[in-house]
Amino acid sequence: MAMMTGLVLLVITLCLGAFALPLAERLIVGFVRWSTQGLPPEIRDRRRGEIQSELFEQRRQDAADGYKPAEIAARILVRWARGIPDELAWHREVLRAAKKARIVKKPRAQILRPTGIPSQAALGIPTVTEDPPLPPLGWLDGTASAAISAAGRYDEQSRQMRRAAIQAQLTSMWGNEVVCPPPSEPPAEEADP
Amino acid sequence: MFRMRRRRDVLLPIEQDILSAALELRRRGTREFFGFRVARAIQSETGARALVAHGTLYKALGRLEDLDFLTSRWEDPAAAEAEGRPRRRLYQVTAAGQHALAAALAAGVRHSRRATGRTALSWR
Repeated sequence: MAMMTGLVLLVITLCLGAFALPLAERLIVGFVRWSTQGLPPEIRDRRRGEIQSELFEQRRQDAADGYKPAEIAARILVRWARGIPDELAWHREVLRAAKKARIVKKPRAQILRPTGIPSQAALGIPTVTEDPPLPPLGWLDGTASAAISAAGRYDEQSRQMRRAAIQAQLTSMWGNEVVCPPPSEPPAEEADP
Repeated sequence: MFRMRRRRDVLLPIEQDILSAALELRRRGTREFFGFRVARAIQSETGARALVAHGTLYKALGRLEDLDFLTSRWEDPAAAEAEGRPRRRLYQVTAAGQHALAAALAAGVRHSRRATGRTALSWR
């Protein structure tokens, strides 16, 4: 199959002549752009940068070795085509890892997500009736707790302040790392009066 | 469909080839290498007709880095700009990578290129 693909690519590129090289490079760059879609930005940018560099280096080396542009294009395309299964497998692995990370992140998302409030606001129902249950905050230090206490009544504005305080605290503690509350803490209770 | 799960302590032949070629480059005075450079080194070392495919190479490099057998960094943009080319991602073999390769070789198993992708080396 790979051999057949390689043969077809070889014939096409030789027919295209000098136009084949930029087309081949564009095809590979487009493929990598597509195959890295949805990946974390640092992984995506790294892979795209590496492929850009790789294409340049191969083009330069092959030209120095005396290959014609159409031959270089064929060599580049065949090399790329042989690696497609590994490229796709790598993509799946990275996505799987990212999905796992999202699952671990879920507890934080539950804590920080305001439920009920937007729909209440849309219906014109007053949102300040009673204090909703607080998320577990024992694992945060005094800064965030103080900010949350200062929020007072838990109307929409104070909810936003509380969310911002927690978010800032988590970011300062763990950066972009996956965060999970300690097992001793109960899971977050969502207030949806 | 049944799919074999990779063990973390297993070196695939392509990974062994990368480490081996990288150490050979280091012996010749190149401490850091980039993808195309190591692909060429592998080609000359193994006598393969074609360069390692992009997808295969960078997947293996990524895995070796995950295992702490390689470290990597982006090249200084000024250096790349001065030469009028894209930035290179520069890799370097760590002591752990060196030990892993030595242990794999000491295990006495050396795979031919034909076995690539079907069997693997373990250093435990």
